[in-house]
Amino acid sequence: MPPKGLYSKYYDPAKMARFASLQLLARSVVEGYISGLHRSPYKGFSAEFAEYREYMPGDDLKRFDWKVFARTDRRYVREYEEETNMTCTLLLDASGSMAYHSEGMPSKFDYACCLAAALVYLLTQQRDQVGLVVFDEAVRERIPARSSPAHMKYIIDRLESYQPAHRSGMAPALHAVAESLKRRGLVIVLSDLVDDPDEVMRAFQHFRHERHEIIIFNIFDPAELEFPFNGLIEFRDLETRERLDARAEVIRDAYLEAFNAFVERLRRETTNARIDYHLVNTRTPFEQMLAACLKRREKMGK
Amino acid sequence: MIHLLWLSLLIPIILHLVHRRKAKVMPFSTLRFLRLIDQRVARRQRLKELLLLALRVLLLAALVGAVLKLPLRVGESSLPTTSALLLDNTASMRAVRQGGAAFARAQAAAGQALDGLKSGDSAAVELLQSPEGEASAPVSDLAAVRARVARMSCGYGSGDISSALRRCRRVLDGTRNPVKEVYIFSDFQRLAWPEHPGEATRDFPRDATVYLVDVGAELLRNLAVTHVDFSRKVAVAGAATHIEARIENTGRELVNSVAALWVEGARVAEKPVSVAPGGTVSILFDHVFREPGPCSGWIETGEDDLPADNRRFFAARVLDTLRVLLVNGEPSALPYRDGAFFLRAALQAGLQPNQLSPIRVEVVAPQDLASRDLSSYACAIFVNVARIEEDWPRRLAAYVQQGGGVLFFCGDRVDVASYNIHLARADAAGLSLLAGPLGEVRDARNREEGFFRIQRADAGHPVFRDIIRQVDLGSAQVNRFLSAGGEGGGDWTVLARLDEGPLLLEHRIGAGSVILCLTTCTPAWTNMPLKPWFLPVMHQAIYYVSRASGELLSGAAGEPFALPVRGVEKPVEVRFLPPPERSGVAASPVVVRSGLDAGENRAVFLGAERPGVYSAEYRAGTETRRAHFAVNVPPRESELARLTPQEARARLALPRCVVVKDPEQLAAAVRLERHGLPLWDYLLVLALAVAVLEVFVGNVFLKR
Repeated sequence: MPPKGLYSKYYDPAKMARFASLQLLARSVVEGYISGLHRSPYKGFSAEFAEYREYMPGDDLKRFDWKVFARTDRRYVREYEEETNMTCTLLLDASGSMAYHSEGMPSKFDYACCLAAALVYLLTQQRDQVGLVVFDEAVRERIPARSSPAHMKYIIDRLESYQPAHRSGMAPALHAVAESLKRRGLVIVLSDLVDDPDEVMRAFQHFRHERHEIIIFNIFDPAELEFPFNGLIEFRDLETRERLDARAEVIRDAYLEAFNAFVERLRRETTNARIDYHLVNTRTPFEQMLAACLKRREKMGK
Repeated sequence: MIHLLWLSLLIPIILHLVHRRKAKVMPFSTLRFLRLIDQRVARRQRLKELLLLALRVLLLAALVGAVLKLPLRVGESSLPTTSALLLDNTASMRAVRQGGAAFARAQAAAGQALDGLKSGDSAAVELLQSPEGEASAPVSDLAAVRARVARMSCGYGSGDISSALRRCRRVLDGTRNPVKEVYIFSDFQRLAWPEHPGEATRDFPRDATVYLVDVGAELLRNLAVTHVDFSRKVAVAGAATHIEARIENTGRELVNSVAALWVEGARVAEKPVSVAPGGTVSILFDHVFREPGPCSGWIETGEDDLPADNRRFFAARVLDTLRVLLVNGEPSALPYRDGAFFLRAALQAGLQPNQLSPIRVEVVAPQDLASRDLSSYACAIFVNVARIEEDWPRRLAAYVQQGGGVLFFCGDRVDVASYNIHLARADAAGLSLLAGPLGEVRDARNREEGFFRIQRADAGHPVFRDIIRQVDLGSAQVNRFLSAGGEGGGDWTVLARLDEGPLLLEHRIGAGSVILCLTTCTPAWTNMPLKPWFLPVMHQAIYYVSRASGELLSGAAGEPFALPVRGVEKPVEVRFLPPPERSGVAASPVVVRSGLDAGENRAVFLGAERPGVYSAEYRAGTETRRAHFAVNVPPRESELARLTPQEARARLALPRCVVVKDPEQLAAAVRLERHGLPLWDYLLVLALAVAVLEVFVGNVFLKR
């Protein structure tokens, strides 16, 4: 349940409650959202007994409860709810391009903040440590990872204070973050990744080299994905203020071709690097997107 | 107003710029992907838009050009113009093809040329067949010029482009208008365009534009009567006269037709003719003029493409008698010793039984010659006259030069030295009655073969031509004859030859001729007077050499006709009467004063414009003399070979020469030359095409 009295534009109690129910659902099926969200690198600590179930051939004999077998002549294995002190770092892109939104849509940055708030809540709920790094062309703010509810509230409060503005040049910032993370953990990137793909991938490789697990939410507005414009348009770059005149219907195909090539390249190279990549359309409600994402991870056995 | 129209070209440019300024501003996350495609698409898009802009400007420009009737070159159109219209009115322009005469097409084309002139311009009309003289002055009353062109009729004569061009140059020299034009409407008959008419254009204004308008056409059928002549110089009533016509086919097709002889308005004979292209035939009509006096007629062929040369007129005076002066140098009481006896008998005998001879012989002694006026005799015959008196050569030479004929019969009395001195030597004027000296007497008694015989006679000569098949010249026996020096050379023409030398020689002098018979008419020298053929041969010879008092006077249409005024030594007034018009209306007489030219009294008539028989009369003392002469189309006008207008242009060698092959296109050609290419109609088509293209580019191509 969300803390009482906590509310922000990125923290909708109703939505968070829905995630909570999702968490219960996941926990009841397998290992819960957190288990689905990450593979714990620290097995065996703080294992909390959950329930018995009947022994099935092939089960680990370590979990076989000899005492019950001796007492009742029934064969049970013990099931535990795994609980880790995992460190998760959210990397939030606050570059100017993240401010873009088409009509009726939230900006990519707002969407990313909502997503970040939800993740902070969920991770805090399962007592993982959560930290936040806000960056554009440099690291603008770093909040160390902790697991307390107060820390969660602090992060969510801070999310409300950011405004996307500067140029994106995320690679140096990502390298800096990778260098600074001493303990391996989960890194969740919330960005449109509009930068030099080679540089970005090198930065992600840096994380992977430090044995971090990476989840990328590559967030785009529907207008960026579909380019639905018509007529003569003067496009203005939100980061560089550069202008470009073009007839939208003429360049649509070429734009989509270039954009899809960019996305496909990211998808291909992140897959090769064993990075969990999610292309996010801000038209999709983020809770649905998050649920779908968790389900997919669950299916993948992570 | 014009500038405002041109300013409308700015409209699409302004719209283009305004449209660009109205581009919707769209903040976008990144231009990274747009920049990637900008290189290959946006540039193409810009090109397409520029293409669209260009199309719209072009569309407007085409419309403005069409509205303004924009020419390719704007030049002299607004400047005052002087036009010299030269119409070919020679006889060949009477050719009828394609439904009309060439001259009518020339008139219509001249009307087109005048229609193209504007107020303030001036024009003058010249005719190709026109005497060299003052050129007409250009006038600004174009309606009067148009009316004059409409009144003009085609002539029957020949012309020369050189003379006409000189007159056109004088027309242009007399104008101050800056723009000068010459229109030549012609069938480009080759003969009218000499090889170097450029000499006539040497001083031609270099800035004058010459339009060569071809109003002619290729003619397929044309028979032309190019020559009519009497085989004898004189026509004598009651004696058969041979009228010969030469008929040429100057067309491109074989023509079968009929040649008819008309005398005094009656069709008296006809003969079929068939002439291949380029061929010539001679048709001979025999006709007996029953009555003496003036007579006229014509020979004509059937209708063809050029009617003007189908008829050829002749005019003659038919004599009732021929007066012959016979100077007898061998009078004798014995007829067979009298040199004139046989000759007079032959000449005074009729050619047919019960027919009187038209020849009246007057025999005189040599010493009586001085008292005779030779001009009153058709010819003079000297029979065995011994000596030539000193003044005879002068009188005889003048007589022969004016068409008289002299026959010499040489016998034993002839003083060869006297003949050679007075007749064979050239006088101060370079004339001699005999073409060579006389030689010794050749006698058959010193000859084993016996008599000399006639071996050959000139069957084509008029003396023998009509009778050569009926006479047996080989039966003649010549005992003696005089040899002639210079025979076979000089100006002698041998009419008959003995086996050892010439017998009959002719020497032509001026309009007459001298016939020398190297034997005489007595049996001691030859038996020819005893032969039956002696009579027709002598008649033929007399007709041939007789002074042409009834001569065929003829001239060419459109050219001055010089009438010899006889019997008067000083200038007199000669009244010329042209033939009636075709409508039957009598023409007005023209009075011309004669003048002395090269010692001869002549009246030059300039009004012989139409073919036909003209008459003239004048007073000679108390006597009124009348003469008739025929005027015909010059035979050269029947020669239909044409130059192409391009060849004519090459011969003119003028810097600004425009060929107009189709007279209907003259106005367009002139407009093109004056105003340049009329773009406006092309511009309309262009505007339409561009409008369609603009729609395609604007709505389909640009949005791809």
